[in-house]
Amino acid sequence: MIERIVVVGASTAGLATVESLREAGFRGEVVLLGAEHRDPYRRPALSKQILLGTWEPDQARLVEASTLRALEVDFRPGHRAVRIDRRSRTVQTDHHAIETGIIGYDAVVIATGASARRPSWASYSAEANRPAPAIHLLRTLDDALRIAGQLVRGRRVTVLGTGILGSEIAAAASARGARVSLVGRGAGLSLGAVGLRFSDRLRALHAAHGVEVRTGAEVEAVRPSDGPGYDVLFADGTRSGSDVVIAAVGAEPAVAWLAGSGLLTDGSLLADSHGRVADRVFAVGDATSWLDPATGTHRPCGHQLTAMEQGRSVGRLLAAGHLSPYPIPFFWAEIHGARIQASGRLDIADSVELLAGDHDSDQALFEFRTGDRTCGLVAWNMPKPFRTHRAALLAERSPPTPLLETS
Amino acid sequence: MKIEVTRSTCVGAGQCVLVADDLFDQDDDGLVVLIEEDPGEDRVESARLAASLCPARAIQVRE
Repeated sequence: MIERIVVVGASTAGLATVESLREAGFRGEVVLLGAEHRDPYRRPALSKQILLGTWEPDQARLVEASTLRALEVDFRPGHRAVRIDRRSRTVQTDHHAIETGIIGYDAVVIATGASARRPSWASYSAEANRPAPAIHLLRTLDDALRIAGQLVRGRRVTVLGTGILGSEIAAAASARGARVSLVGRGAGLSLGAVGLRFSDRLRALHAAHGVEVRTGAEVEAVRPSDGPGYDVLFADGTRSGSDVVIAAVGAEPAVAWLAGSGLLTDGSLLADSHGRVADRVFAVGDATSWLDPATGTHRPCGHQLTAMEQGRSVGRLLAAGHLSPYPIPFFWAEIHGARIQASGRLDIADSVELLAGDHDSDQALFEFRTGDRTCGLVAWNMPKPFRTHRAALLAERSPPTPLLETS
Repeated sequence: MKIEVTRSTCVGAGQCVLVADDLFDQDDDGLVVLIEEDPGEDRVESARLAASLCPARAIQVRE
């Protein structure tokens, strides 16, 4: 009998789990642990509205306080899980008081998300007495507010990382009047699972907005300069000056606290197609990779909608034994005002066709195909055609896979 | 039942239209347009589904 469910992690996936538990009729106790001292917030807005300064921090809230209350959830912000003990079925937090620091569970849902990756050259300082360079990373609302405060007109901003996040940060910084360089060792600019296929489009977009793009450039170090700011030193011996340095070089699942729990496989938290990791243990969101029944591989979640759908899937399974279909990936980006939307298994495509719009215009809809089957869609500034074609993509979604025994 | 949408947080994914095209539409920028703000009780389930699948959580359903 499941009487108490502990959800570890109070962001999108954790909150969605709690909501769907209640929606699907779970009446027992639900404890929601949040590492940050904040109510749940919208992470995609951090690199968009928060950096642009168009939203107050409060607008990033995922739920009103009254909604949280209505869920009758024991929400504990500022309680970071540090250990799980599967024998005694307890989660231990960094909270001192023993009565709140160790929490028993009948089922636990791990939703601890991911942490921003620190560039290898920035993780330590070779000379003991020199502080590590002030590299900004972007993962939390506090990070975003700190960076936003640095995006001042005329300031030199260097963004390291040629993925979506790097492009979004560079775009926001340039919109705020900073002089922006976007640099990375990749051969081009990538768009998540789409890879480099739209690199030229992204380059053109950045060029049109005055962002200098430098790809194939390996950074070796960032040092305080003799004048104001920093010197960014490249492997080819060149250097460039910068007032602000922001690294967006990927994220790592935040699962270090599970070391020794027996839940990790080669350091990764792997779940089946319904989010089950082991008996009474589930995982959702960026902390985990679910088994994709269509490809037989484990896929990281990576995006807000998938995190929500995973939370929903586990919530309904736990509360009502309901099986959900595997979520189809969907993500969006906003770069210099362009709305880019993508859906499907884009990484398995062997061909891409233009469905609508124009190759050379800012409006285009692309169909990704594997063999003669559609496996994904990418739209540039064409939200309505994107949705119409996405309906067809979703209609082909396979039914839920059956539950198999877990260990 | 009352449906409220927050266009300032909408990201134009169109999830709501896929789930309930009798309640929601999109404008040319893709942003949500509410067709029916006070639909009958028989639409509660699809309104709730749209709300829970909105990636921007821009839909509120109040009973």
